[in-house]
Amino acid sequence: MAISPDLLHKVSTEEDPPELDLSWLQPREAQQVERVRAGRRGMTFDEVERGREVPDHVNAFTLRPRDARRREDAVRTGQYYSDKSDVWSENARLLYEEAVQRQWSSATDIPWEKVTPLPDDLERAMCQLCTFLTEVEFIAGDAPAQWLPKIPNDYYETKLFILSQIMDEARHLDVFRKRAFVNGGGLLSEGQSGPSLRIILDAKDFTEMSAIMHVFAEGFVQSLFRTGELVSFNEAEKAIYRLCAQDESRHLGFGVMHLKYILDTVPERREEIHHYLDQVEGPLSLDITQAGASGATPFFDEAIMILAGGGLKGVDKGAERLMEVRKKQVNEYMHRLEVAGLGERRDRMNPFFRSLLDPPRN
Amino acid sequence: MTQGATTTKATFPSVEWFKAISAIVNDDPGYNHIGTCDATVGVRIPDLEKNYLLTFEAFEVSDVREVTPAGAEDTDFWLEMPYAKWKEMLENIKQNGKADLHHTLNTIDLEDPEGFARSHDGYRRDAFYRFNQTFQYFFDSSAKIDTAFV
Repeated sequence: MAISPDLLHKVSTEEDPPELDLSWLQPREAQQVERVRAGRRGMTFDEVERGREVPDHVNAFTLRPRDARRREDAVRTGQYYSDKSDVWSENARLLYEEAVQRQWSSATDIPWEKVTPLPDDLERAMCQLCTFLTEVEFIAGDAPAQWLPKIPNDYYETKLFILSQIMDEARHLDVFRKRAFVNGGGLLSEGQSGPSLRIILDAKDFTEMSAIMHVFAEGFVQSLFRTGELVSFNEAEKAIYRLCAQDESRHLGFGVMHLKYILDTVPERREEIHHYLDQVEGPLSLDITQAGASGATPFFDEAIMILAGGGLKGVDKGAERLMEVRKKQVNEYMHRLEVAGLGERRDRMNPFFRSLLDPPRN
Repeated sequence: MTQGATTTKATFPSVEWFKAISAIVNDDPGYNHIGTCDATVGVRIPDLEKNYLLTFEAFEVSDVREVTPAGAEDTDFWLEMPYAKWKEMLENIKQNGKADLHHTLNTIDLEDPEGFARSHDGYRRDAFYRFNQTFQYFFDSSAKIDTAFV
């Protein structure tokens, strides 16, 4: 087919360069910033943000990152929190960097070859514990994820931290699923955690979610992971629980410091926060209503008792160990609330919890 | 961790012993792989009246010194148990190349009613859990030296 002379002329002629809007390139449009050098931990946000203020209040409706110039024609992308206190934690930046540095892989960092056959009662108890933890970790990922679209980009540190938490929770449900299957046991019964843990998914406010999930629930799960390490039967399980406890401690740390920040800056929310804790301590108080069972999650309790007792025959010893763990959980919860500035919780706590508290420290 | 050629000898407890372990981990890619750790950790052996302060900073143990009891407690957390228990833990590590299932830091902590890791601050104490793998690696590395006991 012949090419028309007109078309040939058109394609062989250079196009006029487009008009470029280079206004963004003008020095007056650029912020003056110091050159940044990496520190001992590498190029972290501590280096990048040194000397830069995080605003207490923002009118955020778009995707504009903090410190970027506004555009008049930027479209609105959502309804975001506007106060720093609503989402801020002074350690969010540090915990995000730490999370990135301390990631691990369930595929390669666990010595799976060390998992050896166990007696049936112990294997099934470990599988039931792993089933419970897998279920719980789904909630721990879903709950904070719901809040990502509400956090303005101006407070990106919190957004990044929450994203790192979701990655951690993904790895946890991944590793517990693998442990359940690796020895031929598999996942066992769906837990009874749904009704009581739904309170976390139903939170209507970021601080509510953080208080009940990060401070309350993850504090308890961290203790469970430590207990899991204690009752482990091989180095693989030891590593799993130890690594998961590390991750959980970051989430907990975020929650404690968010609670502290909000109590320091918006003290009028104190009673509201007590209300959230009243709500969560009730359903999740794990009150022992009869020997060997708990009000919230009996299958889980029974699994722990069998593991801690070394088998079905040692279930009484396991029950004692479970109570020791509960006591530790509740006391650590109280100590964290004291750090956050909620020391009066000692007198307002769920009665069963309060019965487990040690005397106050001077 | 595998046991390599043992060349260093040091007496526990002493600044030299902690510095020997620090030198090993500071030069160990496996330790770096775990990630950064920022914490001040006290070590207390009350029956010997020995107290130490270890500073974990980024990818290394940056400082070791002998301190007063108050100095060991003015930290994120401190590890405290009688000398016989410290000796048992370190001998177990030496024998196995690392702590066996009954001698990990977390297990010892949970089995001690008073707790092995202690703190005056419920938030700072969480550093024990947040960096637990790092601290375990540190003490497991003592398998690489010849430890004499006082």
